Amino acid sequence: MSKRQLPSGIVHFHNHFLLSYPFLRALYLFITSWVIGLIILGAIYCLILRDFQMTWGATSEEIARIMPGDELLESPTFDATRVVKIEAAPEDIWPWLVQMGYNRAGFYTFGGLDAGSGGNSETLLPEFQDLAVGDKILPILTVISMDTNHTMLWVFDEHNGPWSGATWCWGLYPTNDGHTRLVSRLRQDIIMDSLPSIIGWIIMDPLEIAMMRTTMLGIKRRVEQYQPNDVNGESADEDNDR
Amino acid sequence: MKIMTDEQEHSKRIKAARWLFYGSTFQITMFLLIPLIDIHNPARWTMGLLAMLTVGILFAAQYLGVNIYCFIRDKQRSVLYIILAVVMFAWLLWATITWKFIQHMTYLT
Repeated sequence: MSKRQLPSGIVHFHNHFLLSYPFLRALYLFITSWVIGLIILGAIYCLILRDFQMTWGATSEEIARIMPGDELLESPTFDATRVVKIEAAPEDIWPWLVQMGYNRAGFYTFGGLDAGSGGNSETLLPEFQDLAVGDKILPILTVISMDTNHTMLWVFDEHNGPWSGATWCWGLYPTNDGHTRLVSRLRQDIIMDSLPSIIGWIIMDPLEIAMMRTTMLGIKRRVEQYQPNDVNGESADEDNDR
Repeated sequence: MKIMTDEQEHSKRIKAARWLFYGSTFQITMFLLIPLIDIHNPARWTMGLLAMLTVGILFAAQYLGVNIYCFIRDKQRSVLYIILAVVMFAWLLWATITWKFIQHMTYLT
């Protein structure tokens, strides 16, 4: 049986100490794995993924395009312009946009989260087609401007959590091939003035795309399936690979 | 300075791996159960699924790593670690496929 004397020194004493107490070694491995993993993931997100997800599907022209609401937040720290191509005309997409909202047709995202309001509609609802400026999409989200079949601006009410004062603009831009580019622009000045707000934004910043992408692809699927003679079966991601 | 034999050192490393496994198992179990605690909330299942598809990816990846580490260190329980590693890999695969084709996942949307 061979014996080995552990080397001296602070680092080696550290290793020796941890090896002598398996529980402490396990705790050390557990914490270290999370810390290193999150640092690496955070660096990858900040350096690569954030720009990609903030402009998912959008061209440089679409990112630079002026849209309603831009004048309300001149240099936001959260500036997301996402685009999906829909094989339909703007007037076929517009009714799906105006009926969106809580206790309306939903947000075409995770239906179970809207269980209290009836979930997401799979059809057009005539009773929710008369949206007007000043109407509420959510209790904290108000329609500020509308240009039928073109753009619609929603703004979050002030003093209502992390999205307070944020602007959310929808745009429909026809393409030369008779289809439409659906644009969503969400802008906010991120304020980190307390620990909860810091933690909240660290979580929200990378996860918001999950809801937005689902909403946009949900609109695309509904619009395209609603076309009487629609025969396409392409994934939206094929149009959004960049 | 204490002297430790190779066997003692090996035994300590296995014990540490098992503690790591127990802690990580507790962690991922709590992660899966917490969204379901509010039994009166009709959205709890969707919240649970959404948690698995977002933050859960981190927990699954961490637990996958732990099981691979334990598989290397602790051969006596290698079958358990392999099974759990495969389950975690399936979780990550399911999350990837779901996000790729989210618009067609009608059980979610």
